[in-house]
Amino acid sequence: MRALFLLFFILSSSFVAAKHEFVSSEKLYSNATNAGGQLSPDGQYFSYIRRTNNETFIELADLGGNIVYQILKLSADMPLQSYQWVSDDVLKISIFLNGKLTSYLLTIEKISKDGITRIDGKTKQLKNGYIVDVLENMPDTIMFSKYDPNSRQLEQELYKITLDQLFSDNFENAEFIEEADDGLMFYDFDNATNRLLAVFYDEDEETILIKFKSLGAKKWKTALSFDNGKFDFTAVGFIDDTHLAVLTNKTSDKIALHSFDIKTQTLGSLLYQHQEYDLTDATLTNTGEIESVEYVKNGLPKKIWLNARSKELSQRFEVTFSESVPRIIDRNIETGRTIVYVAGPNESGKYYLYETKSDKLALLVANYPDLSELHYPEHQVLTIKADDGINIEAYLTLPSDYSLNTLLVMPHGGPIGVRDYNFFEPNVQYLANRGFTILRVNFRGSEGFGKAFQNKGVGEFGKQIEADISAAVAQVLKTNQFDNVCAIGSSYGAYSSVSLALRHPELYKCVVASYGIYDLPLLFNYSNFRSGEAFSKEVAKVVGENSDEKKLVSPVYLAKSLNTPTLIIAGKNDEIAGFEQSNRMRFVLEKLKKPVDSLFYNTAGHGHSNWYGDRHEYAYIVSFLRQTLGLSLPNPATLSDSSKQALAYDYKVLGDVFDSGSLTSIDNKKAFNFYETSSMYGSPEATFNLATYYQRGDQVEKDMQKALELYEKSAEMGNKSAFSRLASIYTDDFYIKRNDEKALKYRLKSLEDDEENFNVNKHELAFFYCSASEEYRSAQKCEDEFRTQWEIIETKSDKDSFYSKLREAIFKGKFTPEERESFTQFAVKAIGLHHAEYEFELLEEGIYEFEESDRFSRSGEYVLTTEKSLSNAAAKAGKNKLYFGVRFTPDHPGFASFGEYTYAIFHWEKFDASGKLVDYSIRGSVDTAKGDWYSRFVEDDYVDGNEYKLTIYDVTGKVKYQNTFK
Amino acid sequence: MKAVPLIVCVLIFLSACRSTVSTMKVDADSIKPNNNNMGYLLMGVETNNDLKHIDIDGPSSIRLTHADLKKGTSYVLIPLLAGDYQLNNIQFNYYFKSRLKDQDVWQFEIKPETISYVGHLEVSTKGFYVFYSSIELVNRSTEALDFMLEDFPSILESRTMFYGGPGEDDYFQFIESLGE
Repeated sequence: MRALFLLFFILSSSFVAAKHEFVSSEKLYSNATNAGGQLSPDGQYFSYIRRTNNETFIELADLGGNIVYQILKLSADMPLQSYQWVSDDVLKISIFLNGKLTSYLLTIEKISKDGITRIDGKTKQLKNGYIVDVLENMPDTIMFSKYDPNSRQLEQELYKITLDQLFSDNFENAEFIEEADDGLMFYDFDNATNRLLAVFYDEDEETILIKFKSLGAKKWKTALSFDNGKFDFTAVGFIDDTHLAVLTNKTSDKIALHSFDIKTQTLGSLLYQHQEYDLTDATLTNTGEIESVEYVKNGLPKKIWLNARSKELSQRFEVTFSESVPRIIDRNIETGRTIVYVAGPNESGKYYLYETKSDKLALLVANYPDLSELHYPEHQVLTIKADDGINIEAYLTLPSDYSLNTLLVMPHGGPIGVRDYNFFEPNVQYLANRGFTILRVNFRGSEGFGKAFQNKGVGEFGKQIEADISAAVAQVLKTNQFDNVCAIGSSYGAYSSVSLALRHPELYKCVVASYGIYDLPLLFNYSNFRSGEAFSKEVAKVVGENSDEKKLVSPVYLAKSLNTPTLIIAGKNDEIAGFEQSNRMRFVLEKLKKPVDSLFYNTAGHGHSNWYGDRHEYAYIVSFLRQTLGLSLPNPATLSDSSKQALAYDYKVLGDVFDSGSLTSIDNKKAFNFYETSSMYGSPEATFNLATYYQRGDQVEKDMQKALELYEKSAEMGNKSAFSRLASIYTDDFYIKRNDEKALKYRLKSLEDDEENFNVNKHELAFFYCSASEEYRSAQKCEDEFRTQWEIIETKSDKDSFYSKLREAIFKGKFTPEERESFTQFAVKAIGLHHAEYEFELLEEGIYEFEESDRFSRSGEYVLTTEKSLSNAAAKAGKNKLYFGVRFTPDHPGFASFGEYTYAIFHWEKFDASGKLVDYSIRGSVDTAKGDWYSRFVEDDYVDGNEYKLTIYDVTGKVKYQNTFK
Repeated sequence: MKAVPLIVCVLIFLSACRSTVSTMKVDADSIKPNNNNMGYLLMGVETNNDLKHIDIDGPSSIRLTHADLKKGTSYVLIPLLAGDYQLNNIQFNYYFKSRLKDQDVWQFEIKPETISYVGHLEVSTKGFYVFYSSIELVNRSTEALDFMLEDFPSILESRTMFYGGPGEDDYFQFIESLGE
């Protein structure tokens, strides 16, 4: 029976675990492992960027074989900006070096020797010029614009130059084309029409002009010159000598493809228009016919091929990848190779090779190979009829197999000219993976649905925009049941989320508002440069005219009515929304004693600049949602190892940030709670950190037994630092009674397991042998270990650790006189001293005050006061910050040279009013006899009754001075 | 020769007009009750380098000194004659300064009997031989209010806060209307 029960239990657990996999935020919020896929011009290689934690590579997959060559390796401080093929065997690489974009040419040469093929190459920095075009019809020749770096106007000379000539800076033998005309900013070249294009700046008119001419012609013709600020206008290409194809909504509601008469600078015939959507792209054939047009439908790009051959192939890809969007990104006609990139709502991006000859499709690389285990959510596209009858598009994402029956309504930012897409999106994927349903709405004002639709959103803050979202929510609730509905959004989405809760308090159980705006009049009065008539005019284009009515739709001024629990997230460096907006909302809600939590990032702006910040923010959001809605945490016993690791990581990131204050202010209470949860899911590091809280008595009663248990547990979980911490605790009498047996056991274990901290553990072991009880003490081993380490240590951290333990050994070590003499000789040599002993000449001791200098850029100084009592000094100063200590000089007969050094160790011990040692510090100082020596204690938080004992030792371990400040 | 003593006199006169002031350190109202000519200037200063001094002109002409303009974020709270003022000059160090005179974007108002918060002066400088600076007076009222609540609760208890910086903002009046 017992065996059967166990079997059932195991099956039950594994069934639950197999049901859902929580994905690690570390995998979801990160740069793509593989990206930037391209086909080499000759179709032989597929090139792509591969990233690891610390390095970036460009790799070449030989499509004729199964070999991958690594052709470039860059460290983390050299971020790759872009690369492109210049010829069959040359790439142009652009790298940020010291904050400056620097370009190189990189040649590749395939070398076969002794049956091994490798790629060799050389690089050449591109200085004083830029590649205008890779000439399609002239292999190994490029068009290059060279300029004189010393000329004020950057005078340019245009050349056709072979790559060999460019590598050797041989412009004398290159084909000179022309010297650039005045005002020419940069060149371009259109291979299809053999025309030069250039951007000019007309200083007199202060306008930018796009001009063109045939290669060899003298006179430039203006292609575009008019002000297009009031509508969209993008040139696509030449239809013929006198007409361009342009994407514009100048004369239509939707952005459509028109012809454009270059001579008259007027729009001509309509070439292509979609009834519902703005066109986002179009391409022309070499003969000026329309090849394709593109628009965004259901949140995904839709390309319509008007060219028969491409149309057929592309339709086949669409059938194969029906859930995603396949795009042909590169093609080589001779080899019949086509590179297809596939992305979609649940597809984070994959590159495929299609071979015409075999008619086969094969996977090359995935952007995020680590996300293959992700259980993808379901995406639905909804069309909603708004109050006034217009159609609104919305995207509903439903969790795959772990649901918390909670709908998160997620309005997008903007709100004008911005939109939601339905691509793979880390935030949506993370929330869906953690069990939430997400609704995103392209309300009026959103981009892509025409001018009229976009303009309908202007000034509709807290009004029709939120009515559109509410219509979408109502439609979703007709066919889906949820236990909870919350609103969550960023930027305008934050404003909208709070507004939704104000409009429908009965529906929304919580709000998460990030980087938002809550006081609309403040948008017009942000600063001295961001206020006034001209600025207000720009703000009004989105918000509508400023008036007192704006307060009626500003959450700050409506906060009395907001009873929905709200989390406000903001970045203190937010230059877009302004931190004051979030801070106001927080202040008002707190003043009104409303349920509000705030998460303010010291380092963030209008969002984070690194993935770690995103991981922290979204883990915090999920934690807030769970706590506010009373959603219980998944039982670790029911989860797979990878799911437990994913949740453990979430809570560890939360704990680490609040513990260290690396992104936010330190909040030890939150850190402790998050570490507890992370430890529950099995994080060795969080368990270790939790132990430190028990060790310090921070947030909990000091409990060394509990701390030791947690360190042990952390060590068992695989945390290599835990054995070292245990050894250190047992080596000292500070926390518990010293136990040499355990101290040695853990230290040896740590030395065995923790390769990374081997040297540090050796320093600790050396100190142990000096200071241990008679059974374990060995002055010889102590000195030998120190001596061996002294000969090999190199890094600063190793040196710090070495001298720290040596310092302690000097005054805590137990030595016979002979052993002491030998050890002192070693210490003098290791520290680099000329004199071991000296007479201690006291200059002054007592309580100090810090006086600022009267002069700019001069530091202040410590001045000795006549006060003798710390308690009186604190009372007189009216503060708990005190400075006290000693000033002295080491005196030695014949010891006066600037180049001769001696040593002092300062051992401060802090006792509370009951006489209990509560803290200590040990520092050392190497200096000459010239000048003053001092040791001052800076107490930031003096408590009446505290005492501070200072003992000063020389390198022989003799006490030179002792005093207790009280 | 006669012009020299005259110039010296003018210089002495001008320098005598500007008084060097320090921010208040103790939470005790130094403006007498019913003195409706005076108010408090409250200005935040956020700078990435120590500043030498800032000159402000108006009914009183004052100089804020380096002691109150250290790197980081700090506040200047000073009793002043009420009226319209102008940030006149920022002396970044011994060598570089920025003249703000005659630019209306640097004006602010001290309202009698109130604590007039005029904004946070955000100063960012870099370079030595080639010196760059960026200066903006930003409305960070809530931080200023938090500062007063934390460091000068007694003065705040007896006086209202008023936004006297660029643009218009009656947020402080709104906060006051919420009561305790």
